Amino acid sequence: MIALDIFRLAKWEWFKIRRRWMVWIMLGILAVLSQFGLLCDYVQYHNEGFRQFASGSGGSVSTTVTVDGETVIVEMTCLDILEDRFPPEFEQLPKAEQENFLEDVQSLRENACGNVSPRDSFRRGFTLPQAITRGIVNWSYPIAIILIMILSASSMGGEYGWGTMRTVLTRGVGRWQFLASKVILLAGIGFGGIVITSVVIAAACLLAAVIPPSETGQLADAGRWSDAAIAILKSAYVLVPYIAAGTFLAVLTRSSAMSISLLMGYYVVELIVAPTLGAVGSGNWVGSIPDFLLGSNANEWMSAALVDVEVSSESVTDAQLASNDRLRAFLVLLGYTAAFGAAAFALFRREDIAGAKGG
Amino acid sequence: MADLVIQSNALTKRYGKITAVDDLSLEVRRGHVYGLLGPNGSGKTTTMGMLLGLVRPTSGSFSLFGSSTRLQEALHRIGAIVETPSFYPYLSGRRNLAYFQGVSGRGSPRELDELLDKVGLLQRADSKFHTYSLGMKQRLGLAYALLGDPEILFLDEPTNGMDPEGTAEIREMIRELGTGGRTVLLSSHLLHEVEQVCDSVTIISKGKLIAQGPVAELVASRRGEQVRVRTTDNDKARQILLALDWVESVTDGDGDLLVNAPIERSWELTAALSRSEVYVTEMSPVRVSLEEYFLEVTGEDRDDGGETG
Repeated sequence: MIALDIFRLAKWEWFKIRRRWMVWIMLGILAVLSQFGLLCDYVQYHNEGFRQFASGSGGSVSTTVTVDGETVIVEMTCLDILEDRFPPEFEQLPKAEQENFLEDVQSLRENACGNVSPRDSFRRGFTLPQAITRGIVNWSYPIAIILIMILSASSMGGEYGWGTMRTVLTRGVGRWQFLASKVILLAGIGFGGIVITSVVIAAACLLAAVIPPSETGQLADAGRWSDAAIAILKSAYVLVPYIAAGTFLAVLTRSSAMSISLLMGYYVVELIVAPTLGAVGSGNWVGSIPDFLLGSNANEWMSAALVDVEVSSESVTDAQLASNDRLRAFLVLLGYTAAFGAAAFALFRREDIAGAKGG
Repeated sequence: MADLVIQSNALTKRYGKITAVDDLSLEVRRGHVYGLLGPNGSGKTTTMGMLLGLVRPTSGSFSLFGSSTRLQEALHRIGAIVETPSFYPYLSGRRNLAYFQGVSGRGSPRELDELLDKVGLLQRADSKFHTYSLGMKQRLGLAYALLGDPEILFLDEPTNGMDPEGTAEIREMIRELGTGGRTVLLSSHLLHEVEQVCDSVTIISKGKLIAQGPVAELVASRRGEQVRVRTTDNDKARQILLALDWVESVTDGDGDLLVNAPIERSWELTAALSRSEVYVTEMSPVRVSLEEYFLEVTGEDRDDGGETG
């Protein structure tokens, strides 16, 4: 009966919220910005100049030899080395020079080319299904976090600002049921936003495949659909503590503007402070503070989704450590959800509801 | 009592050092238009807020429809609009009503049109709420309060911001709503509005209950203390009347004499005057208005003659 009540309230919350431009504008922003990574990969894949500009060549090796009175210059960048593109001039080199040059190439490959992505890695960025996983982990979820914080704070704060909280509650709507229906709907909108973004990414991948010059060769490792599904679910999970935080701050401040400011402020401050603490307090308790911060754990939780895909050669020890970090991230995110949620419910259950106050 | 639909016992609300409502005990019977009268800041809205579960009382208790009914269930039988009607600005009037009907889980889509028509808002039902004038917002508020055919209506300043025609229309509607077993609790600082519309009234000032009862009885309790007399010789009449030991005072009043004396002894006034060959040409008891009564019991200064506070 209570579940039905909450479902009914969530249905009517959707009736209301879907008529706000804000929701659709945010969804549009999420869908468009999430294509940015895909676009970058597409351009870098098809344009070496851009690839070198964006990712760097990683250095180069060259040799100049005079053969039959002619000067022959042979040069290879890391990109050439990784893709085994030997220039035609290489064949003109004497045998001994070729061996010397190959030694230099090997040395560069081992020492400097490790940071340069091979061309095919860019192709994965717009090839299904890995494009979805990458798009979500690298682009969608951080944008989704910012947007869902704004939407959560606005959804609850708006009720105080317009004075409609009072109008709703005098209809005999239970306070915690009302709050629960909002949180559930916001989680649904967050999940829906990620799914829609994934669909848009998939559509962009299909488009990229048919626009000339299209690639016909099979890509060695284009990821798994199950990884894409896991990335979608993981990103939905990572949004929940931010929804709880947005709701709590809106209940606390009774203002959209103030709660959004506090949330965004915290988000930015954590982005700056967490790496600093990690660097300054390396090896002591200060350095472990980021392990319990919301944003750091969100990153840990989501980056694990990409690590699973891209690093298949983890040692047993590394895999165990990564697994522990993921478990910690999962629990910390759950803890934040529970803490913010409980605080929001406790506060909202007891507070006096005033009339419209704006902002 | 079975017909008591609202009952509060020593209801108190404090905000820090400020006491908004102080030890308020109310009794509202079924089937009346009941006025909650008081100056601005007297605690009317806070009282309504407590009865509607929006404001937690600091102490005291209340019951709606008898003590056995839970507040949330009771609210399903109540329609209320507290202070300025608050709705979603980006939704139309009709969609606002549909939403509030939906969250309460009662009523049908047909009811929306009936209510919008009843409050005269059908033509603008599909306009966004933010485009409404204050009067239209009040009308939508009234339609909202009537959703689900409630047994009790809480109306807080329902004619605020309305034009005279609309005000008269809404007052007439409130009177109609108070018939047929429905109870209306009308909060207002407009004395003449309460006097016109309400059967009973509770007067509160600075959060305290000052008086409570049927309007006619409250006003009558002060009537008969003063008699207006016009005679053939007012100067002589004054001297004669002042000589009577049960007459408290005689003052001039626009060609009349205002005599402070019990109304039931009026005949003795005429007898005393006629014995001295002064004859009464006109005599009437001075009717005390609710406004005068209010000013007297609250100790408020008279201001614009129609509003309190």
